[in-house]
Amino acid sequence: MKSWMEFAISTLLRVGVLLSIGIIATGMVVSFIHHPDFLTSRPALLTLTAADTHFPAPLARWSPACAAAAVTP
Amino acid sequence: MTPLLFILTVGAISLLAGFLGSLLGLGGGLIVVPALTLLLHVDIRLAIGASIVSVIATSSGAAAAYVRDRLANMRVGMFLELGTTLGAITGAYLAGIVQPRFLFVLFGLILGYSAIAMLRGRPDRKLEEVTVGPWARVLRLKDSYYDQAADEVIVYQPVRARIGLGLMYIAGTVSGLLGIGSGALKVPAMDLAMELPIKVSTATSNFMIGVTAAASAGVYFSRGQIDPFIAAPVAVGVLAGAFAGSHTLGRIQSHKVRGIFVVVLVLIAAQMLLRGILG
Repeated sequence: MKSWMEFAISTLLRVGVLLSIGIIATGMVVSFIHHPDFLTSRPALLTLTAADTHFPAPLARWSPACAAAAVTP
Repeated sequence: MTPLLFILTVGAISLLAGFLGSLLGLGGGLIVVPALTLLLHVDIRLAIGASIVSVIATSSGAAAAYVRDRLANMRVGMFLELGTTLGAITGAYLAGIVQPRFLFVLFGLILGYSAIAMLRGRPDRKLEEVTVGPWARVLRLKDSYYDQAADEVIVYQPVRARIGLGLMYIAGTVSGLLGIGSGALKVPAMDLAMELPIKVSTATSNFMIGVTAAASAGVYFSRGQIDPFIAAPVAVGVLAGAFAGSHTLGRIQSHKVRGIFVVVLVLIAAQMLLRGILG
């Protein structure tokens, strides 16, 4: 494998990782700004991490094709 | 527990998972799933979804450094990925036909045997003594890397490429059947069968597990099993841990990496045996 190829893949991965961290960190900060109760409220965690009430099938809302692909566990 | 404390706790656990995972070529699910379910009482389905995220994050975070440092052999990785992917498809088709309990016991025993074999080590052969098979020659799998701990360039020649491919097929099938990461099977296969240096085995496994996990992540996401509130701190923690781990692997001696891997392998083998016996 040529070294430029390794450099290109490594750089692509590095940029992707940094971009991902940036997006995730921004999302987390925005969540806490919009919901200041997340800093202190204990019951809020139950809603956020409950399997049945939260985030049921996100792709299904966006596209009918994804809705067809979404399979209930 | 408040959501803020939850995020900080999950982030700290994931940091450790990412560090160990990047060092040993495993996904980190071994730590993330029990911690989320037993310690933080998260639903098992969401914990498994977070585990898939942790595998992708470990692989992405570590592979950037491993590919640059030539610790991950990309030719070997891409070649073996053929076997893993085909195996994963086979496993998905076989799921429901084969008894998982029997498989847990069988692969618990195989992993136990692999742990003993890795502990014994393999004879240290010189490059001139190695018989290169036709596949390894045609695929030009021979490579080298700079070992920081030994302060020397290690040149190695992978052997028995066909057996390696077959073992990866089995690893992929097990992964598809039992829903486990196959890093624990990939590393011994590369180390014992293909005679890759242990650091190259773990780094290449790291490179490979992300590809496999990325394929199944879409399915988990469409099922709603990836909760962003759990997956986000897992991803950030694991990425940070994997970054640290990938910078540590080069600096520690190979026999120490092997020792840590054997301990973790024994733990996984015991976990699989228990799941198989207890149901």
